[in-house]
Amino acid sequence: MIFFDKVSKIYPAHLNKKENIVFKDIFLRIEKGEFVLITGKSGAGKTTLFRLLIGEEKPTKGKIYFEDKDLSKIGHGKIHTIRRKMGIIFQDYKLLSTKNVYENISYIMEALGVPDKDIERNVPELLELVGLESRAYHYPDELSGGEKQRVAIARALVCNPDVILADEPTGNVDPYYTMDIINLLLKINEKGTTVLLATHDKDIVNSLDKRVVTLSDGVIVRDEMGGKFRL
Amino acid sequence: MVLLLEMKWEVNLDYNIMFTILKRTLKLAWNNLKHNSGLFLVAVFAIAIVLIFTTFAFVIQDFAQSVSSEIKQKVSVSVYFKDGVDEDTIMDVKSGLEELPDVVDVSYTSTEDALDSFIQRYKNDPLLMAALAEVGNPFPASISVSSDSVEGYDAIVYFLEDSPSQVFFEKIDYGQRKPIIEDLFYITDTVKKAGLLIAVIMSLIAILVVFNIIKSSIRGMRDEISIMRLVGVSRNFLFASFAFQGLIIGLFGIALSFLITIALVFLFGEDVKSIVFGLDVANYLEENSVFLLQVHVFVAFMLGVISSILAVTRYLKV
Repeated sequence: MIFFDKVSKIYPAHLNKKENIVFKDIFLRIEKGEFVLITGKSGAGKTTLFRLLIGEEKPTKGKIYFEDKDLSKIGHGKIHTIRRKMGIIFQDYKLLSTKNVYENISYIMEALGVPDKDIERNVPELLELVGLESRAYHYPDELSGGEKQRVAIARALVCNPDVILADEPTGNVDPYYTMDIINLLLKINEKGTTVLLATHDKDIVNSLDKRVVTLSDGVIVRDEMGGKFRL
Repeated sequence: MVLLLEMKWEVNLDYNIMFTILKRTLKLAWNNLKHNSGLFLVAVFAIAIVLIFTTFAFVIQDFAQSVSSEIKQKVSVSVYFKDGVDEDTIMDVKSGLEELPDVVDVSYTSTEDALDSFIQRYKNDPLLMAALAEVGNPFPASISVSSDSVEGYDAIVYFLEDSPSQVFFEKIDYGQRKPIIEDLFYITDTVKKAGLLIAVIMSLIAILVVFNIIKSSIRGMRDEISIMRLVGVSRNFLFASFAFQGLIIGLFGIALSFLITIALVFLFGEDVKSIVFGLDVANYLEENSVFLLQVHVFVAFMLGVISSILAVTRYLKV
């Protein structure tokens, strides 16, 4: 489903900054329906991995395939077709502050041309799924970190994605809500959606008994089924 | 948890969907403008100012044109013929003048016509009428020629001075007027060029102002634009919504400029008419309303839409 074929990402030297090698010739294959934890220290490249997958960044070398499509051959004008197959959850939520919870979910469906009646049916269902049906008309500023992240999860599910990319989804969330969010991702995975979860939370990694890919110094140092948190 | 499986919908690219998407881009454009209402109003005001400048540039241009042609019509070279020159000779000279380039009018006044005209003008002055009765008809036949360029007048005088009929001329009334004609043409040409230059400079400044206002309003939305792109909103959808934003700004700009222009004409139109004789702004606007509306729609939409599209393009490269 996802294949990183000898991918390198190098940021060239700039003014006082030295050349930054984020990835060097990495291979990574993820199959449909997997739940994969991506771990590593801060700056190990977890976020860059996701940015390469959604086409926000281009690899310096190598190719990335998503559902057998070479992402380097998809231009800015068409990249949204790939992004719609990937539900993205950002650590900083990336909610639109001028839209309420309902609108933060509905605008993507609106842009897709989904009929109004389907939007009116699906958005409340999504809000119910993430437990925010009573907060539909609140704005992001009025929500807690955990609630914002649940809105982001609902938004990620809106296009029925084949894969969920969750970048440190619990990073800014109260520990009380952390397991709520992880359980939600597990349930989504149970329905057949592939989940890539980037985290450096030791407890989460150790409690899940899932495939763990550990990044360090630009390479994959470990890739283990049922792996544990080891940097 | 059965919800995830049920979340399927059909997205067919039929006309209904196209219409729905179009309607939503318009809705997004309107909502964006509402959220940036301060900058929206400034942009509308800036476009209205450009349109008002444009309107009054046309009014002044038209007025200058009519004044200039009126003055030019009043300037002419006159040839006075000696007594007893027959009308055929005069008509030959007239046809020769009519063939010259840049000549706009050649008129012949016979001795009788000149006398009639004089009598008409001074019939109420018994002293003059009595003197006229004493001397008979003192007025020579004449031809009056006018041109629309300095070169045209040069050609007329060259033609007359070189003409074999020159022996029949009593006088060519050109010498005294030459400097006036040259000055007049110089002044009207300079006024036209300066007016055009000022209009172009003002328009460029206004265009830059409008562009920068729209650019800063879109810059303020760059995070929203990039989030929308990252979660799968297509570039065309955002492109269209910002083009609509420009269109709405243009539309409001037209409406505001219309209201301001009407108010200005209503408040100061009569004063302007009495100070600058013959400058009837209200009349000009009424006579040229269709043309001006076309210019306004073109200028406002081009400014709004092109500024929006140029400004948003860089933020869509996500």
